[in-house]
Amino acid sequence: MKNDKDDGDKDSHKDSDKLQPPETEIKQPPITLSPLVSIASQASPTAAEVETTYISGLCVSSVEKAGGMTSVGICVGAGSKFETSGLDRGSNHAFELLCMKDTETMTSSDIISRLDGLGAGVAALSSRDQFMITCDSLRDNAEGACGIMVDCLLRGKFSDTDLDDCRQVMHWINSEMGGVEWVKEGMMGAAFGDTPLGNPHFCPLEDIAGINGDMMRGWRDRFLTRENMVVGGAGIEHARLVDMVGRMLEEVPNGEVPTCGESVYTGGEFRMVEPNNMDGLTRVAVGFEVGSWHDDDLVPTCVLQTLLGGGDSFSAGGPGKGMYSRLYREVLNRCYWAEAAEAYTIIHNDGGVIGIAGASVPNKSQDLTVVFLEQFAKLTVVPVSDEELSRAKNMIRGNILTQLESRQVLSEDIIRQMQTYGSREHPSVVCEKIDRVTKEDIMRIARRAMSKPPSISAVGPDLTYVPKFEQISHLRGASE
Amino acid sequence: MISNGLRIGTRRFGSVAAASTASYPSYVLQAPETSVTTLDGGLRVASETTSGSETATVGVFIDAGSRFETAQNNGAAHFLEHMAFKGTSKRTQQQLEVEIENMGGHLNAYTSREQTVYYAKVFKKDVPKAVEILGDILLDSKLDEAAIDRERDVILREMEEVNKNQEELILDHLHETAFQGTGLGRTILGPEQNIRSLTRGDLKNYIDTHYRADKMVISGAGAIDHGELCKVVGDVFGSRVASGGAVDFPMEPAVFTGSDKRVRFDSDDKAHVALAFEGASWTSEYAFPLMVMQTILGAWDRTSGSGKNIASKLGQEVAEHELAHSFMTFNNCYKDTGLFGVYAVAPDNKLEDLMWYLTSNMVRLVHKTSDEEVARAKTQLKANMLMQLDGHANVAEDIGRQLLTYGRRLTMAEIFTRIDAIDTADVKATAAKFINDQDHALAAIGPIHALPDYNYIRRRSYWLRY
Repeated sequence: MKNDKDDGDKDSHKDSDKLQPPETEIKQPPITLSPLVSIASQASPTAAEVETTYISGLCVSSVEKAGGMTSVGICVGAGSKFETSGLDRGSNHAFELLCMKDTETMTSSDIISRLDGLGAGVAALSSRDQFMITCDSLRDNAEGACGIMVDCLLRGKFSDTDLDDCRQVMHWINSEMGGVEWVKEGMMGAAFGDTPLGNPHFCPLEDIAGINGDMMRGWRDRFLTRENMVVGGAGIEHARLVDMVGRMLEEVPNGEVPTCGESVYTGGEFRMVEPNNMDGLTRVAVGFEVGSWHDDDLVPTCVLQTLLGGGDSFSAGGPGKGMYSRLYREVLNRCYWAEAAEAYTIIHNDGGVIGIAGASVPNKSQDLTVVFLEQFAKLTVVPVSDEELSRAKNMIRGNILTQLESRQVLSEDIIRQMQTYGSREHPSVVCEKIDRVTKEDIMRIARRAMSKPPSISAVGPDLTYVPKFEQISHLRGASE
Repeated sequence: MISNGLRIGTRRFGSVAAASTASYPSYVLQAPETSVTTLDGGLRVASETTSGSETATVGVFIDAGSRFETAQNNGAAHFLEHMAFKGTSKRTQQQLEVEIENMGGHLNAYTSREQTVYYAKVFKKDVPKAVEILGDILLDSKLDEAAIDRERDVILREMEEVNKNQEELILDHLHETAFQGTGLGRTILGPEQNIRSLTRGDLKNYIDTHYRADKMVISGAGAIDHGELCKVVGDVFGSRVASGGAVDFPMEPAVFTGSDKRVRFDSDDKAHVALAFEGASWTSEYAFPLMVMQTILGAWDRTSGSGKNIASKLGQEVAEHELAHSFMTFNNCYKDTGLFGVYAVAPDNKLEDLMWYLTSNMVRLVHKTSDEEVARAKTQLKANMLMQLDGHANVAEDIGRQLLTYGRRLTMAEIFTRIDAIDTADVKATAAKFINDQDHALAAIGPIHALPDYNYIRRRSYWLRY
């Protein structure tokens, strides 16, 4: 037995031995029915329009929105589609992970404590063709928060310690990625083969060791030009944002917009055996070619995705989640073994994929794949009903408008559209386009999608029952 | 503690109320107004309008949840929430579902310990229809016997899912031990036995007792015209919802009991531990200082990427000594009490050190809170509170909850005033009241063979002077 006074667990101490606490009185009253402060008048701000300014080639676009918070973000035309194996593979994902590390002016812990003190947060996200860094802050502190975000983007130090950490995290992410993520990652490689959109986004294990500081600095030199960046925001006066970022990004040079080779849909397969996955299910996705962000059929493609709908067999949530969408009615409600079946689209600047992803026990993978392919084949032959088309249109309209209620989503939407199109379509224009979608459009998109071989991506403990690409590559839908 | 009785409570409230609102920027003062109207019978309608929006959320917030149940009907509030979606005398279940899906809307509900909430997200033009549907499912649910029997298995299946979620499970255990023997100690879903045996009469009875005009708030946010909303609510609910006021349903008072509940599975790989002190009620003057304390202690996750670079001292120590995989500070408020504490997920061999650092960081707030950390936490708290109001559903939720808990909606100016008024002395005073030398409640699940016993932790709720 230790005889330390501090370990005297047997008896409680005398009050006189205890360090006296302060008084427990505080300076504010309880919350009662009468307000603590009275405000002479509250005026609801009116809705504002998006404003855009170019500062020597740098696009700044924003909208005012009532509330005490500001969202600002910067989108860069960079992504894994620009990467070359053996040269800069994984650089986009690495840059994302290194974003909050030491910079030339601040240590990582400075960054975090300063952001906390400003009531702010910064986040970065890389993808195949866009890199996005965003910050949210109390409105009064937007300038300070933005300054830190810009510092993270422009002045990362890439010390050996931070690079080591980054490589470790990349290994860890690789080992922690679940089947759902791998199926999606694999789908792009299957669909676009060796062309740029088929590049892996998460750095393959063998390339992680090659991540270094020069690669990161090279990334900045190549992509951070005024013409290749868009700054945007919501919940801030436009003039204030222009003034702020004008100063902060002054040093960013003008330059060419980087290009990469052409992405070509080939169709193909991705298979990854995952011996000890958590739930014992095999995940399968089928995919077909659709147009890019710039395609005339973009809106009907998204309506088609909503019409197919679907989800998990045990998902929570009430009516409105798509419980009368095709994949619920015709797959999840009919096939007891289908644990999940959900339509997805992956759309980029130079190509896209639409498909169905789902899960089942391994020995039902073949049935699941066949059912998914049949769902697409049916769309090329049988027109969709008026009721389900109208339902899908209302649902996608509702989802878009509900999402845009959020300041963060609104800000990101403006920025991404400016980066992609150089202009922003008002939601009401998008809704009009949704209105005009016909059942002929749906059939045309399905037929176009099925005019090339399907792609298949599968991850699970046992892939014996997943059809090989050769077994499905001949499949085509009805043609026009 | 002996000197407590001798202290004279000098109330210094005047200094707070005097804080000039002129010092706030215009966006704080010109935040959208919350309109509140009380209809005949006591039903309240409250809304906030976002100009230019095409969508709205409308919800019914009911001052009733599992704590108002008895041992016999525990689970009824939640069971009823399920049955609301199973058809009315006007709509079958399928008609209801198709109607919502066809109009591009969403309909959902949840039950908590003190509140039951039904809400719809719809287009501007469908707001009246949403109110009509909410009224229909709440006031005219069929409660078909066969459907009730079918739903038992669905709820038991949901229970399996809830119990797989360790965080929810541990909070259930924590309430069970902290408020043992009282309504607040019961679970929301109720025991399996009740789920199997609750009858149509139990559910009907629950509606009659709790779904009353004076216990309900209709809350709206987004594309809402308050006048029109009041009219529609009056038409739909006015004559159909029983007006209350005559007999208030007696609420079983919550009694906090220092105690612990340990569920030991030594073969699990992670231990889940929640340590809590009795906290403050919604309306307590200590409610906001406790929120500041919650922000100071913070949250941390090994995977979050912040590593050791976290402002919270507790977070730094947990990261540095690798004491846990993650932790979060919680501050749950109820009508007459609260729970303030930390939930951590940790490896079994670190539990003793974890509890030492955890208690020492909590008691540190009594004696050594710094001005710097209070200032930072106040700013963070403002940002967190505003951040939660992103989107109409979140605003409608905030309005409904505040109307039920405070009886009104606090303006952003009042929230800022209350946060600004808190200084380091207030935080220390609050910690002295709620943590220093107080009994705690603890719930733990998993490989907890090395988790210190009750007295070890109780002994560390105060510091000695040497």
